[in-house]
Amino acid sequence: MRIIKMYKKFLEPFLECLGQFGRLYAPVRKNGVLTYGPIESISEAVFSDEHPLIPIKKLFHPMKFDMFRFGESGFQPDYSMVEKRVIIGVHPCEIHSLLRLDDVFMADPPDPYYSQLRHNSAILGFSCMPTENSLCTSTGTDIVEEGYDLFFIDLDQFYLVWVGSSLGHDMILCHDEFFEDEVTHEDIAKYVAWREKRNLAFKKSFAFRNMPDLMELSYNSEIWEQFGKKCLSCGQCSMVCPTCNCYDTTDVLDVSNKVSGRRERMWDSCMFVDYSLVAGGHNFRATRADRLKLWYTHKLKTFGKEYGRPSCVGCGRCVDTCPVDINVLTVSQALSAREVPK
Amino acid sequence: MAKVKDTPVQKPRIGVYGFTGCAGDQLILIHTEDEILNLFAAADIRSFVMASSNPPEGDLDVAFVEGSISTEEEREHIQEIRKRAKILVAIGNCAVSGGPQAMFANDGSFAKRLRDVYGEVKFITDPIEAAPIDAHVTVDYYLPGCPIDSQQAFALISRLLHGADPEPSLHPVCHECKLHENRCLLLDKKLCFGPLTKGGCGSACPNHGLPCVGCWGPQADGNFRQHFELLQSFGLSKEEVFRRIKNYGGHKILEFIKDI
Ligand code: SF4
Ligand code: SF4
Ligand code: SF4
Ligand code: SF4
Repeated sequence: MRIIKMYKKFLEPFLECLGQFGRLYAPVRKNGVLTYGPIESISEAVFSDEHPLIPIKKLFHPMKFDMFRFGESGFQPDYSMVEKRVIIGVHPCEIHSLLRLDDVFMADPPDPYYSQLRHNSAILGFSCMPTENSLCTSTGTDIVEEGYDLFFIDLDQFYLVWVGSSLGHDMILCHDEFFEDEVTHEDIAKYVAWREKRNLAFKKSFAFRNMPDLMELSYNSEIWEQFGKKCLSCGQCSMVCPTCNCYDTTDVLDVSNKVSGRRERMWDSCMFVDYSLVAGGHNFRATRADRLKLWYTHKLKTFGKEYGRPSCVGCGRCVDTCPVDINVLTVSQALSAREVPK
Repeated sequence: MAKVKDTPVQKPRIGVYGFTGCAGDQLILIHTEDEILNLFAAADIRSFVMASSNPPEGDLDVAFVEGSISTEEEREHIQEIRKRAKILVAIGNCAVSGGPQAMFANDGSFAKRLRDVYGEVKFITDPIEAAPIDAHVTVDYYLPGCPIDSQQAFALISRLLHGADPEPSLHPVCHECKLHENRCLLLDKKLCFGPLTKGGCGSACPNHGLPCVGCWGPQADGNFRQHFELLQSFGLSKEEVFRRIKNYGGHKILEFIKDI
């Protein structure tokens, strides 16, 4: 691992130069909401501690797209959304979320849409300070060791830059003169102080490591009924969660007498009533309590069983978003205290 | 892939009818210029009140019906259409729920309201309390909206053309609202009926910062009791919340709020 130093004044010209590696993407503000999108110039990018409302998954697992067109003689996949991209300003929890999504979408056989988008995208991570509901120290996702090409840690006058891949190395060569290989003792002291300050800035935490056991013990708990009474089944929690990845496919036929059309793929949520509806009209999770139990058991326990680590990356979006305060914090509190908070 | 029957030898015979309403749904169909031409090529359009006068009346494969039923004459006409049509689709909020003209549905004040507005007149055809199509005949499919959304409409129409079942729409407006990356208005204590309302409009209102007023009609899985409680915690009275959801909820909302 190579760690180098860059003074702040070089950031814009350096990033601007990365256009040669692909189309630049970054968090931008649109109608007051932070969102990942393509940018024409670095000045549009918003570098902040705030998380975009919809996580980075949307750039790899698009919300809604046509998988292929079909006709009477076969089908034609549509990969038109794949392009070379350089995604700038990605926080640690987001990088972790992509590694979790890789577990799902890159497993054999890989999802061709996701993997092509992934292989064609460079990730430029940026450090952040915790926001009101950040929980990443609880989930162990506050720092990153893999999953980026470059990672910038903001130490006021300069950045320490972690080079995480050979692509990241090539990017540095774009403006080699901006970077210094020598990291002084003083720089390291600054970094250590930053880590300490950051660790102390977290306002909230939850018993992440206890969750798999608590889930197991609480399978029949009345707590799920109580949360189920409150839940609006709006599905916002799964849309904003960076590791929720369910989708639905629909064949949209052409207005014609021929058998032709397109298969559309769109984000779905296990909080919606038809998610577990099967042929014949049986619904495995007709009640809201069962749906919530599925969501939380999957997120905090079962995913871990399958892929070695639970899928919550502590971004805090469910805490920011649920209109009736059902989120990893309130659920873990309820399971620990056996009481649903008012 | 959707199950589709072999290409029909005969083009399906289609009729489009309008009852009491603003005719906005027929307008959406006609204004979707590419698709309406495809539709005229793929189907045998027997009757389309808005597109041609003097339609021939006969047996139909599919009848699309817009508007609520609000006179005796309309009631007889819809029954006659039902007899001729193999499949009947209610299109638009008026046909599906009764429309804004049904906001006082079944409250017992119809006779008084009629007198207050029209006075003591003799009507050419007897008015009846505005009701959705399925209050009088069975409806096979519903296409909600005020007005309907052309994408949702043509997705259903193309399914029917191929003899396939239309996809039901079971998700709330919130689904599309999040896909449009809107901040939830409920977090700012605004009265939004998104979680209680059928999706399909593309979250047209929240996309502009406006709360959903429920024009796609009630979403059967909505958690009505909890959502009304939440809205009341914002300082709205129960009466106010009920009044607002009835504006578009018409007859269909009644069963969801009767025990609240
Ligand atoms: S838990 Fe909250 S955000 Fe999720 S569906 Fe229920 S009400 Fe909506
Ligand atoms: S469960 Fe909540 S905190 Fe965890 S990753 Fe999902 S949205 Fe973020
Ligand atoms: S703004 Fe309205 S439609 Fe959008 S998520 Fe919130 S409640 Fe649902
Ligand atoms: S957001 Fe609600 S009121 Fe607005 S068009 Fe959609 S269903 Fe109708």
